Amino acid sequence: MYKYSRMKFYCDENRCINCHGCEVACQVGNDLPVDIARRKVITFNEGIEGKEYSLSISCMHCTDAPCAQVCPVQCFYIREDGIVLHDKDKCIGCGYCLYACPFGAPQFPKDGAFGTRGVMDKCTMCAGGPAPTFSEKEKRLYGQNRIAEGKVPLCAAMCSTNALIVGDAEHVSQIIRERRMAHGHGVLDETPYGWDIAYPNE
Amino acid sequence: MSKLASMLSTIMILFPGVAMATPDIIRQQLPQSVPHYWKWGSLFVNLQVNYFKVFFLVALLAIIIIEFLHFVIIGPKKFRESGKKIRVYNLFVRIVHWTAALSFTLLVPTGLIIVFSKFFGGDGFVRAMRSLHFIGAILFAISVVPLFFMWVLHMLPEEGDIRWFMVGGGYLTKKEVETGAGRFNPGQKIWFWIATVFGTLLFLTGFLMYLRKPNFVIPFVKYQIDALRLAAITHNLIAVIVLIMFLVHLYMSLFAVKGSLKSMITGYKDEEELKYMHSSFYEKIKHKLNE
Ligand code: HEM
Ligand code: SF4
Ligand code: SF4
Ligand code: SF4
Repeated sequence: MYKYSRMKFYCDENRCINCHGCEVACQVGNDLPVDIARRKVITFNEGIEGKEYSLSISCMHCTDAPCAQVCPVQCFYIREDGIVLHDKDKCIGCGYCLYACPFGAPQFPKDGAFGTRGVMDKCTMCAGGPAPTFSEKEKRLYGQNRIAEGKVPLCAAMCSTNALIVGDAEHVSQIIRERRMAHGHGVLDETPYGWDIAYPNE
Repeated sequence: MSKLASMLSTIMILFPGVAMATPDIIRQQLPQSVPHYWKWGSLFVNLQVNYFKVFFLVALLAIIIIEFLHFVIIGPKKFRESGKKIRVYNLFVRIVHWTAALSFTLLVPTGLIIVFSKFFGGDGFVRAMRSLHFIGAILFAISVVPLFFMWVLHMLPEEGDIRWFMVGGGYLTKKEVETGAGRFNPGQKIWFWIATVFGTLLFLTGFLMYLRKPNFVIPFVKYQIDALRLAAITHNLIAVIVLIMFLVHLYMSLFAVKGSLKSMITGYKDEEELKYMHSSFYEKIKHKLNE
C-alpha cells in the first residue's frame, strides 16, 4: 500500500487576504451549527501599518497530539497519514482537549443538559470520522469525507489565492520553498506559523 | 442605584477587559496565546497525562485502606446509653446540612467517574454523570451560604482543640477519653473549612469551565484559554483534597462513632457521647441539664 507521509496545513501570510471564505466553506460544506468554528481567520499586528497580516488556522493535526494525550476517554485516533480524529459517540464533552490544544481548535456546542458543553467538534481535515465511510451517520457527526473521495478539503479547495494549502508534508514544503524562492527570499528561512508547536520533532 | 453604577464603573476601570467584553475572546487572543502555549498549556498536559489520575487513585485507595484498618483494629465507638438525649441540631441546621451532604454525595462520585471515564467507557453514561455533577454543583451553591453562616462561629479554633489533637480525637483507642472538644471537634472544623472554602473554589473553577467561552477577561490572567487551563488544574488538585476529607467525614459519621448518623437525622445526641467526644461543650451545658 501507498505509504503516506504526514498531512499538514500551510497558510501563506503573503497571500491570505482575510476574506474568511475558508471559514464559510467549512461551516456550510460540513453543515456545522453556528457556534462551531472549525476554521478561523485571525489577524496579527492588527492596525500596525506594514506589519498586519492574516492567517487561517484550524486543527493542525499535531504530532503526538496533546488533545489525544489528555482525553480522559481516550477517544482520539491518529490515522497513518497523521490526521487526528476522534469518536463523538464516546466523547463526554469535558473540554480537556481544548485546554491541551495550542491552537484553540476543539469546539463545543452548548447543547448538553442544562446548557453544559456538548461533545467536541473539530476540523477533521475533511476526512470524516470513525463511523462507516460515506454513511449518513458519518456525514451528520463529522461532515464530509472528501479525503476518501480523493478530493482536497473544502477550505483549501475554495481558497481563491491559494494561500491555504494542504497535503503531505513534503509536497507542502516544496510549494513553500518555491514561493519563497520566487519572492527572492532565497531558502526557506522560517517555519510556517505554528509548525514548531504542532510538529516539534519533524 | 447611582452608587451601584459607580461601583461597577470602578470595577471596569480596574479590569478594562470587563468593559470590552466580546463573545469569543479565545479566538481573538490566538495570535498571542499560541506562542505562549508552553506555559500553562504544557503544564496542563503534563499534569493531566502523568499525575491527576494517580493522585485520585492513591488518595482513594489509601483512605479506604486506612479506614478499613481502623474499623478492624479499633472499631466503632459505642457509648453506654444513658437514655438522656440532648438536642444538638435544630431542624434548619439539619436541612441545610443534608442539602450540602447530598450535593457532595453527587459531586464526588460523579467527579471521579469523569476523571476515570475511560474505565467507564465514556459515552452516554459519563455524559449523564457530567449532568449530575452540574446538578450537584448547583445544590452546593444553594447550601453553602446558610451552611457557612450557621456554623462559622462554632468553627473557630478553641482552647480545648489542643487536647483533642493530643488524644488523637479519642479515635485511636477503644477506651473512653475526654477529648476536650467543644461543640465541634477540630476534625469537624477542618472539614467545615475545606468544604466551604475549597468547595467554593471548586464551584468557581467549575463554573468557569461550564461557561467555556466566558465573554469577560479574567483578572490577572492574560489569556482566556489560560484561565480555563488554570481552572482545570485547580479544580483537579483541590478535588483531591476534598475527596480525602469527604471520605474521612463519611467514615466518621457512618462508622466511627455509633449513633453519629442518627444524631444528624433526629437532632439528638446521647449525654454519654457528649461527655467524652465533646467534653468542653458538655461542661458548658451540664448545669442546664440538671435543672
Ligand atoms: C472529588 C470531587 C470532585 C471531582 C473529582 C471533580 C471533577 C471534575 C471534573 C473532572 C470536571 C470537568 C468535566 C466537566 O466539566 O464536566 C468537573 C467540572 C465541574 N465541577 Fe467538579 N469535581 C469535584 C467536586 C466538585 C465540587 C465540590 C464542585 C462545587 C460545587 C464542583 C463543581 C463543578 C462544576 C460547576 C463543573 C463544570 C460542569 C460542566 O461544565 O458540566 N466539582 N469536576
Ligand atoms: S491542533 Fe489541537 S486539536 Fe488539533 S491535533 Fe493539535 S492539539 Fe489536537
Ligand atoms: S471533550 Fe471529548 S474529545 Fe475532548 S478530551 Fe473530553 S472526552 Fe476527549
Ligand atoms: S479541512 Fe475540512 S473540516 Fe478542516 S477546516 Fe477545512 S473544511 Fe473544515
